[in-house]
Amino acid sequence: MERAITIAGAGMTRFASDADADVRTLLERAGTRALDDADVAGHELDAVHVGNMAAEAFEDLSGLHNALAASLGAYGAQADRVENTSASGASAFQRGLQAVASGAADTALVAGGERMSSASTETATGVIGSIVHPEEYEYGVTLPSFGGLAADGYLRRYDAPYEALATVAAKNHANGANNEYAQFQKEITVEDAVESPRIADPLRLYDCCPTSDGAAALVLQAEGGDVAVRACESAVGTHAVAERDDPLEIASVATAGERAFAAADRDQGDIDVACIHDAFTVLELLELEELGFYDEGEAWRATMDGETRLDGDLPVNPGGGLKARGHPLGATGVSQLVELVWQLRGEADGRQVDCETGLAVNVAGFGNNAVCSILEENT
Amino acid sequence: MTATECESCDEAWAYDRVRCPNCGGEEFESVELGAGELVATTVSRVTPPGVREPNPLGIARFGDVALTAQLVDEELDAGDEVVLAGDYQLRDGHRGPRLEQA
Repeated sequence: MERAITIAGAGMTRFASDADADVRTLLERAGTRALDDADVAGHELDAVHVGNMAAEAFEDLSGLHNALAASLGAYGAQADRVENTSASGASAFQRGLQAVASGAADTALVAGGERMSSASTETATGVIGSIVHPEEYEYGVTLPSFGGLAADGYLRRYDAPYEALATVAAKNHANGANNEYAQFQKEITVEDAVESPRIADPLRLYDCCPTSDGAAALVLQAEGGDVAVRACESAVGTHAVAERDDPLEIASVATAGERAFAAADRDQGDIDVACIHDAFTVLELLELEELGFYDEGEAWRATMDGETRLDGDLPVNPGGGLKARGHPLGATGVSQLVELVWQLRGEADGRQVDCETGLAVNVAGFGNNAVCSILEENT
Repeated sequence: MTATECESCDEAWAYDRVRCPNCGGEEFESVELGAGELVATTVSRVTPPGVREPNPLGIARFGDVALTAQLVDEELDAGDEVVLAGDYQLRDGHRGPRLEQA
């Protein structure tokens, strides 16, 4: 990066299954919270970048970035919307970061938001399903069915029990129970997950993230913020899932992770806390392995041994992850970074872990694209 | 059912694309898939409108080419030898082959 970038403010809305406002209003709420947290006025913004996947389809809305910038009084700022399906939030963060790093902006607002509840289930399913390859679409393939195929391959290859997946869900629900911004603030047991309805074998209801409404925002500044951005790197993988050399491979995550570690000059041992894109429980295990935190086939055992709990060696998804915090598509990548900011500042009441360095990975589709960021206390 | 092969470098793939990912070639030919091996399966139990429910699916590998497709039934399992064959209603408005026991 050409110059050091810091995060000076963070804010979000509580994620919900049915929010009381449209996505523009949710973005305003998150945006004003981040600005107030940074003590920055709207007119001081040089850049406004919004991550959102499908406001046209969900709510018949376009031009979210201009609406947000104008509402905040950021006239004259460069502004646009970034779409990278379920990684739109982290891609908007990368765009804002590049704006500040290049010198085009000194102060940037990055906001991610989505309101999925306004569309019928049929429309929402259609929108989410539209990201798969047309030849996958013909077979009625859904995102959960990719999760089911990967989970089948993982449990089979490593002779792991289903309870390994259920343990991810129980852990992330336990973390979400202590996060007032989480959609689900309720603990579940491994047995609850085991007994929940089947969605795409072997995945059950509690293996899958919900659909959600919500927004999250960050204020970036060239210097002065209390959190430093050490890296934000992204990579495209295959479009069709079967084109991977191995059904358990998510090359986009591995590549984005390698680039982020190299750019930050950090390695896996330096990471004290991680926010992983657990749209399905099996993805938390696969991504931890792709990022090099565990060898292939080892993440499930580490999870069952409690290593990824709040009191473990590598706390994963302390805010509840997509599973419990919720997954409003365009908001998710930004909300992962908001959680890291709170953790690094020591403000994560009830779920605080001891940390100086944190990593987040936000994934588009079932690994079509991934964005990996490394944040650190700015000492 | 066929796959696509690049006439310049013999790279093969199952999913339509505009250029060869290996050499950038644009001249392709169709090649027969033959028999392959099922590597993972699932039964999707919540399916989109116009798709059968439940919807058994699998990933099958045919040499260098792999694809996701509907299974003819839930009895097929990973490790089974399969072919992509037949003419089935895949979803409303789409007909095509499913993975069947070879």
